[in-house]
Amino acid sequence: MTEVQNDELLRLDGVKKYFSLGTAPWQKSQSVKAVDGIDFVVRRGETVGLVGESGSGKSTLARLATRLLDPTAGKVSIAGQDVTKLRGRRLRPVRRKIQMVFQDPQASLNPRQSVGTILTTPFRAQGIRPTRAQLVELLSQVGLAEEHLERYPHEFSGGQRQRIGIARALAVKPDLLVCDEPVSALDVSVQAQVLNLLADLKDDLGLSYVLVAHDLAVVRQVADRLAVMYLGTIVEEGPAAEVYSSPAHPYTRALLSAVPVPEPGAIRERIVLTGDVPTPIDPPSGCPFRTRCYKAEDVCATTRPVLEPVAGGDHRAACYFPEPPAPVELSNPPLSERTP
Amino acid sequence: MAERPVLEVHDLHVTFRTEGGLVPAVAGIDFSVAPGKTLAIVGESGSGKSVSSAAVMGLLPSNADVKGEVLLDGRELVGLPGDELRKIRGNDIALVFQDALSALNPYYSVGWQVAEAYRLHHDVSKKEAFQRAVRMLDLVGIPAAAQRAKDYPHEFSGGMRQRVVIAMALVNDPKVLIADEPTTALDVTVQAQIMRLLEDVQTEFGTALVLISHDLGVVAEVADDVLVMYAGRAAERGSVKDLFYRAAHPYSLGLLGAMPRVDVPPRHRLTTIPGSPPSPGSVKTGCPFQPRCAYTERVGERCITERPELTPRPGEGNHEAACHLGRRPEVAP
Repeated sequence: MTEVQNDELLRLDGVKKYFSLGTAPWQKSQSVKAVDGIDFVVRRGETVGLVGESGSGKSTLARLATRLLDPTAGKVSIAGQDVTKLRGRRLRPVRRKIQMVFQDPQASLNPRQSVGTILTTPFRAQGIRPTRAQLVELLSQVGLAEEHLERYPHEFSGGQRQRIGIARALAVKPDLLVCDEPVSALDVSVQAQVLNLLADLKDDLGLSYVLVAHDLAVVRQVADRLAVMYLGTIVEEGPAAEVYSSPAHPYTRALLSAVPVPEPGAIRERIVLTGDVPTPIDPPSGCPFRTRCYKAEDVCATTRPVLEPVAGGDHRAACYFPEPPAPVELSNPPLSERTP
Repeated sequence: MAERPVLEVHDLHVTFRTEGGLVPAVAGIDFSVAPGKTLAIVGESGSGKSVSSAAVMGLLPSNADVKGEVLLDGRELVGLPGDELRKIRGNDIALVFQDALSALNPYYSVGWQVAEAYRLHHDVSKKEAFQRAVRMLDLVGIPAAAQRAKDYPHEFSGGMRQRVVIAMALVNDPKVLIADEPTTALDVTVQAQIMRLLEDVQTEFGTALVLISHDLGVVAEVADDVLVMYAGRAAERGSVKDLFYRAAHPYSLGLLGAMPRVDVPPRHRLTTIPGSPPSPGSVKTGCPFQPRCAYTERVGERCITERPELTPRPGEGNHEAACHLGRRPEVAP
């Protein structure tokens, strides 16, 4: 076994997840290559943003990391322990270290259970009977109060329901929270509350996060590191500040340039990609992005590029023709300079 | 000088009769949009922005009472009988929904559906209508439109389906296009394509666009004027620059501060608006935003007892805000 550093909370090595499609016996068997060979590490105290468009495999990766899905190939290690082969009961100790927050709090909370019951469940799964004080403590961590314990999910607003989802994930005192689109179902004003809550919890409890989101602005607000996914692979990763200010992969560049900026009349260089994301059933040969890339050449179609350092350091991109490390002009003055 | 508006809405009220009583979803809003211009209506869930657009289109269920004036080229639409309205709807004024998949019929080819929209308003043969449909599909950027027109909605990607819906909305050269969150369900790279398409259409045909959106980034990019709605009322309105650079209502400022931005390094914390948007009609007196407002203490009782009216504010012309705080609020109270 390779030496594992202590501060690695989560490590994925060459992880793949293929979903086989129900094909008739006389047809060639097909599968959706949702995650197609990913190495991914989360260290203690870190918030890693995982961004990508629909179908990029980011949610599948989140479910592989939390062992809600079994990988087709590769290895999943949590806090240095190989958990790829663990099943059922033997996974329970692992679940204490890593928990998940889902996108839609309406769908992820049982409407027939009171908040108290919802919060008790994770304790019971670990064989613990929580005291009322413990439940109240959980609620106060997410900005709710004791009076909410007896209420049911429908009595709460969307933002409050997401707080309950977060409280449930915090019950077993995990080290790592995997949040799959935690704020995308919320209104802007409420979204900011939940993002600030996640930041506070990180400071108070020393949590680490994997934040899966399609909204690049949301991720920029909270991420220390960023990984960009396209068609089941990570095409670029590195320190968030660096990836946002000088993206190396053409896809990252196009993605960032497409995000509208709240500056009326701002003149921005926008790379509008043509076409759609190819099907993950039959991804393009070589580089998965080459069919939409403005830099693609013959070599891109032959072998898939691997993540290689750009400009030294931690910042890596899987591209034969990475952009030079130059900042992208995104817009004019920041918000703070605008108001009196 | 501004062109004469093609769509004018005056003092629009929408009240739903429900088992729980009357629910005032929209309580008196005014807006107008001129040919080739874009008005964005911004607001959170329950602010009444979608109900307003449905009221303009006459698409509300029968338990909705609509009062006020909706003038399309000077012609009153409120109270028009169904068959008259059907002649206008889809012809002079068209709507693009958020969810393209539910706006299309899965049993018919997209070309047939676009052609049907044309045949409803024009006395042409099926063949001619289909040819028109193919031209529209080509115009909205569907590759190999002549062949793709024979395909069914499920054979298209989300972005392509939204293009089909836009083609259907534009097939009769409407004067006004209402787009209700047209890109919310789409990925950001596809969103950029669709917003560019809408802009091209406006330049080419002079269509007036009413864009309903919660995404201030999209609004900043395409809108000429903005109406900020809160709890069924106008909180603020003005030019897009008035809103983004001279916001006068604490709610507008709160929205701007709460929005994470992709183009600047993160600030330590986002400013938040405490609480969540009220349900329609729950605030009976005073300012509907008062329970969440950070400035209410400076104004005092008035915020609770007296409903603020839209009053003029400094700006590019018709900048107005409904707030008792006369001067502009500072950032981050």
